Amino acid sequence: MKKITPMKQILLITLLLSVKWNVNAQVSTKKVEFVGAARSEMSGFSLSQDNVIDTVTPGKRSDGYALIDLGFKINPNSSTEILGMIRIKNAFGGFWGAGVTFDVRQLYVRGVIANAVRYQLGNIDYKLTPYTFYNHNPDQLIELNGIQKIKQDIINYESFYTNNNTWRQQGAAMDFGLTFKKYVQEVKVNGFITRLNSAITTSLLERLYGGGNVIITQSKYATIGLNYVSAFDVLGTALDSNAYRNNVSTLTFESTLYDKNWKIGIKGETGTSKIFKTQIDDNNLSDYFVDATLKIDHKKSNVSLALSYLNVGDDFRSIGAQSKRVDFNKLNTLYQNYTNDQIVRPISSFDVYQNSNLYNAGISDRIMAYNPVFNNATPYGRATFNRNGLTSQLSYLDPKKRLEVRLEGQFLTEIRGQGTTKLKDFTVLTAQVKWDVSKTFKFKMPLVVTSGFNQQQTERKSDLAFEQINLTSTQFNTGIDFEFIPQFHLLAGINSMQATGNEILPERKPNGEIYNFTPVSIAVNELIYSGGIRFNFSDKIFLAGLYDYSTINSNGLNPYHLNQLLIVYSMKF
Amino acid sequence: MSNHIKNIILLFAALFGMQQVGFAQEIRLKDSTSLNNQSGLFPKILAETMDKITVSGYYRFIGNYTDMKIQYPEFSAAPSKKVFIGDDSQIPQLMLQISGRPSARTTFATDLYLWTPLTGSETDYVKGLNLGVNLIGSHSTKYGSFNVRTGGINWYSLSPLTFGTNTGYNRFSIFERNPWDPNTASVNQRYEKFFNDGALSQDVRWGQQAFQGIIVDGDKLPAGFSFAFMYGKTQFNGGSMNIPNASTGGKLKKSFGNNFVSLNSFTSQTYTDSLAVRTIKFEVHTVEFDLEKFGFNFKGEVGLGRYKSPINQSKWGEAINLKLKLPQKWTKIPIEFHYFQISPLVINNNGVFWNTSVVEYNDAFNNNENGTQTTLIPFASSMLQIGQMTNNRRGLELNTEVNFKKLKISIGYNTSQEIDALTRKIAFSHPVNNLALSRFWRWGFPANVGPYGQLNKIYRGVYETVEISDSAVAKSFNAFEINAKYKTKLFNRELFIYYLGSFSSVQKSFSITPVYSTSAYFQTYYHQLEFYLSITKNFTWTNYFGYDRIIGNDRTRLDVISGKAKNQTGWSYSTGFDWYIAKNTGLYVRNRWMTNSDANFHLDKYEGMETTVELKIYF
Amino acid sequence: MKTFKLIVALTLLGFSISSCRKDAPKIDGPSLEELNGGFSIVDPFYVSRDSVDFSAGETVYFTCGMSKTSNWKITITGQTSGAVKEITGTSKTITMNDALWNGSTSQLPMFRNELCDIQLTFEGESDTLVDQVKIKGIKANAGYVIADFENGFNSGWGSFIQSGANMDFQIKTDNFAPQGDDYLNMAGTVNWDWLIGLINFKASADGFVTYPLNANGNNVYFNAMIYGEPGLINSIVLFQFQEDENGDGTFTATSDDQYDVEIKVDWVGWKLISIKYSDLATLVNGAPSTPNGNQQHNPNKIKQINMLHLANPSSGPAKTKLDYIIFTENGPLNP
Repeated sequence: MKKITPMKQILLITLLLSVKWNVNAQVSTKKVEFVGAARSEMSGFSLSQDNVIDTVTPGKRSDGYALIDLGFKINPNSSTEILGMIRIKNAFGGFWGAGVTFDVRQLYVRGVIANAVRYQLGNIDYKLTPYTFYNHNPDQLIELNGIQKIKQDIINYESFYTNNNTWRQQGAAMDFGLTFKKYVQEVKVNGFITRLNSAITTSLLERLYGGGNVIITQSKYATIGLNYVSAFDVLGTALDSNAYRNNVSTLTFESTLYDKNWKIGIKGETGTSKIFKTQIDDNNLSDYFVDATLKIDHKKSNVSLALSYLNVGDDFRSIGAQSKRVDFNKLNTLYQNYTNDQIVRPISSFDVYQNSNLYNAGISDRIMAYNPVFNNATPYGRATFNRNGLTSQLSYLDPKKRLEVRLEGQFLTEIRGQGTTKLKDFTVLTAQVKWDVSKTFKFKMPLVVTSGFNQQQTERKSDLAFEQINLTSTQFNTGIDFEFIPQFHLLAGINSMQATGNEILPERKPNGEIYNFTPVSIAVNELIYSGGIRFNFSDKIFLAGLYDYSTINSNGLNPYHLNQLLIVYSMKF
Repeated sequence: MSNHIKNIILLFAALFGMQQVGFAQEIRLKDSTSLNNQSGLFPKILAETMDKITVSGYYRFIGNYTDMKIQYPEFSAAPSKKVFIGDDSQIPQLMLQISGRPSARTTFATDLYLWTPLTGSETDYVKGLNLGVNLIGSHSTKYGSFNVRTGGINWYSLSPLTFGTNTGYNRFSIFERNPWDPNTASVNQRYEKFFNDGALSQDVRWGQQAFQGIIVDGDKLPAGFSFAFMYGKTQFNGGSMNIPNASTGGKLKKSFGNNFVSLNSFTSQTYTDSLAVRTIKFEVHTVEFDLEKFGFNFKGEVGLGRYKSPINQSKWGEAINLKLKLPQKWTKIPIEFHYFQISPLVINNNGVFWNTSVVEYNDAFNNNENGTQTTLIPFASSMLQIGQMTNNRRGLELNTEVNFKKLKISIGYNTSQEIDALTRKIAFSHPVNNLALSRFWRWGFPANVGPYGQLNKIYRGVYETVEISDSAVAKSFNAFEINAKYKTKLFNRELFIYYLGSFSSVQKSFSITPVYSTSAYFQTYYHQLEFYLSITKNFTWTNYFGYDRIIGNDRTRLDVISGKAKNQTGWSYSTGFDWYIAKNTGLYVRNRWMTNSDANFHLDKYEGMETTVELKIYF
Repeated sequence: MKTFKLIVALTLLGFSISSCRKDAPKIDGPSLEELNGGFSIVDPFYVSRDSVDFSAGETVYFTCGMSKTSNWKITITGQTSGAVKEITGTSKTITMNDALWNGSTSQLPMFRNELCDIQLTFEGESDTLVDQVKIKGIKANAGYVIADFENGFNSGWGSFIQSGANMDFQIKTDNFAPQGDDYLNMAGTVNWDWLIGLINFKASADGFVTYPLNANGNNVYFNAMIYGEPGLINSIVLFQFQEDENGDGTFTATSDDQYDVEIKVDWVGWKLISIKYSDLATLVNGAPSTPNGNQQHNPNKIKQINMLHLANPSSGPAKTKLDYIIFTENGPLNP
């Protein structure tokens, strides 16, 4: 580094002193504070089949627990914070200390170095961009409401998913920002390094995941970001010289024009990826992607239109952006087997809504399995590889907030055929409506109706019958939230998932290479009726009694009803 | 280090004409869908915190030293002297009760216990939760106040016959301290209070049962109504298996001034198979009332109950528990008549009465599963303390208290008879050395132990079960209890003298008075005399004499060698002190010399000494 | 406005770049046309040896070539033991990398010195190719054997057997043994207790204070072979691993860790149970609980392993068998 002369140092310090420092230590003045959550859950489940007597599977079961996540937030000085959170959990039915577990839920230290650089070490919640490091939620195409939302919130909390699409990682991160007088308004710098696995055996290399970005905001009109992530094995940490690498570099950009009535913006991300082993060619791949959006907002009417072009290469691999939340290779922990033959019960929407054990807490270095019924067009979210096409979104918000509508369309096609030169076409239509009935009709008691609809159509035309694919899956939900007495909410909803047709699913080796295809015939019909009451002690504390009645029919084999009565009392503090 | 980093930043500043430096505290761009404005560490905004958590609890060290000259044969290979640090299960050394209030109307609480048996190992520690994790909330409206409790163990009661524990008539020895006995403001207050009120300060569980699940209750509802609803698990259908064993209870109460009438209901359902098909179920539905008019106080509970299992579907049976207090302005002394009648068809181990009628029910729950109640409720015709009821019995009790200046005498009388002839077994206890005897078997609750396999350990007690040679008959029971309390001064120091006598019999046919002859299957005579001398404000000398006699007749099980029936004698003398060594800190020492022998069953003999040291600190 | 134009220009440049994507290869994965085409053997089934000594480290491999990607299965069956080894795959060719046999078994019992039949089959096809190989020496398994019952009941072990009906807790010698010639047979009816019988495998019985295992619980695997009796699914085999962490020579329940694994024997025939030591939990009535010691999995501090045969007292007779309890390193036992 070029040495800074004393004269220059004086100049710079003068310059620094002339401006106002904008650093908040992000720590409190209190020495010890407490954060966390407490929750109790009691569930009663029942499983039954119409006209079939199952003499092996328990028809009813109960489950439950009470837990406290008690976080001790210690502020040893004005620029440092240590958080250690313990989980104390006791199983429902365990008396006098039976079924009690103590765990550490999270531990980190964070603070500010030299009043300029913020850091965090330990457990971190992190993301960069949708194509580098991002926790997409591809198996939830329409927003959940009411009862399923309560359950989903619990899953998100248990799996460390935040509203910001972050992944929970263990490692270190730092960031700082610079603000300038001219040419550039602001530069933000983020950097991180986390550990994906440790070298616990002599043959397993230490695998780290690191990277960061530099975001340059030129003005309110334009922002550009340079992003880079890399998952890499550290050579020498095990008796293996064949190291894994997955490097992704992207450029993000955003520019907006402002007018009295209009706001027009263009934004997007483009970049390249490489995945390889250092010694041998083990399905080594490299590719690139482009994702650009034109967005037009009409201020007066509150109508917004976004048109996007998307092209993500077939060999584009970014493990931080292509890991899924739901792990469809996992087995159900609730009624894992059923029928007199004790067949494995497939994962249904009922399970995805309520079973946190099916979820993946970290990023996966393998291409994870997906279920085409839940999402066939973009099973790995926006960063799904091998997709090319247009997407669009039209949204409207009534100025009085009585009605909110969002319509989406995706028209995608494969870039490279799977087992054939013929390509699959994907058409996705989504509609989401939130209607505040009480505001519309001026009721005293708040009543809100929300509905969502998603239909995915997958088609591959071919003269050869075994290459043809035609799959339609439809998801629909609607829910009512009626606050009939202040703080008391009556909840009701319907969730439906239907799919018919066929698909040919790839079977992949651990390195992602497809070695076979499995034709599947799909006839899924799942319907969940829900009802319940929720009492809000505050916006963070509630008690709810909920009931789900579901009918699940997967390919006409052993259809069943799975019902749940759930009492949940949840506090966050 | 920090200078070096600052230099790097200064270099940046020089290059770009920097104006400000620092990390962005909040999101600058308004558009939340922006691809690049939200990256890095999350959350970006400080979360709200709670700045106070309450920690209370107690420290309780208790250690025992026993030196037995004569032991039961089953311990003959064991050393005669033992040091034991700790008490029975559930009683830790350090109990921390931790609670927080995330909002004005909600509370969470948990308890953490730590315990070390002081074995000399630096890693020999035990930790855990006792009551578990509890979440509590309340909500007040113009229609009433509502409370909800969920999570771990909550102590709760509905009514005596449905969900509660027996509180009795306060005729007991207070010489031995219970784990839950509090430190009182002064060392003498414990004895003063017992003299004045006839009861000690008890913790929250007094009269209540442990329950896990959800409890919702409402009070101050319109027209004097209140209600309670509970759903979850009691100790008897606990366990962490997924079998949906559960209890449901509820109460609707209407108050009229100091009077009330309430409808109560409790149902327990457990399964005997993994498919959750074969049900063992009992239910009790009652009306409870407390009415006062013209000085008469009439209170009680009447209801119906039944029991159902895969092999037994009972009809409805009656449960009656009535108490009438006469106007004191007429009688001058308080007199209470108590009539009870509980059908053998009614069982409810969560109520105040014991089950002695359905063996299947006890078998189903004595599974020794960790985390559930392992207490063996006697399945036998039990000789009980006055106030304790069992099913398959009807009886009449009379309780009164007479005061002569500094002498207070509480008297109880009981006559009762079984409704059906169900068992050939009779159970009785040995109160004089009861606690010390229970410590012969640590940690577990073994049954059929002792030299003749007739002793059964329960929590802090032992009872003995003996068969009769007659065929099963509806036995008759009588008891007479007297508890005399006298307060005086010795050398200008306060002296409390308490005597507790209990004289009972069980015989073949009904009798108005106790049968003190060999026509009774068993006669029991228990005497317990206690002295408490307040030496200083913070120091009390404590003394105890106990003597019990248990005599069986020749139609009870006879010894194979002597050919004679039970003829037991127990003696106990104990001395010690209570010493408040600091505020909220008490040191309690007891030394007991004890003997027990049976003139006819020669193996039933022990003799020895037990020293107990307890240090208790509340905070 | 200039900036906006610049960004728009960059975006358009991105579009143009994306249209220039190179197309090779044309398809992902094997051709569907080929997968759905006719099946034939292109290269004959080849077995690399006609006799093999696995104890000397020798292996056998198999090769074959097919006209299309197929789900294939090589089944090796011991003529004497009935042991079965299955090797499966999905590919167009079977190579040494795909089908190398080191003498291990897929379906217990383990192989003996015997002649084995080899069969190559293809899913959905009628073609079956056969051959034979003779085992001259069986595979040696690395690991620390806690008990294989070959030398009878070790006098240093402890045991407790209930006095129920039709009790059997004997070491038997017959063809049922999945390894060697001997195994432990456990049977009986105990209608008053869950426990039918137990054995305490003590490190002291082998002359050790604690079992000589790797200290890293992530590297150590516990393995045992358990037999499920046809028609009986009520047996539970509970293993308790008692560590002496403070090195005082005793396991203290209140201050040392005990880890457990409860195995519900609901299958028929022999089955190998393998579990990573660090995956073991402390169980209280079958529910996970916090260990009472240092809460670290320390395989090198295991002082005693208790094996309890349990059954619901109301479920009637229970029966199971046990053999070859062995700790392995870096992976489960591959028998």
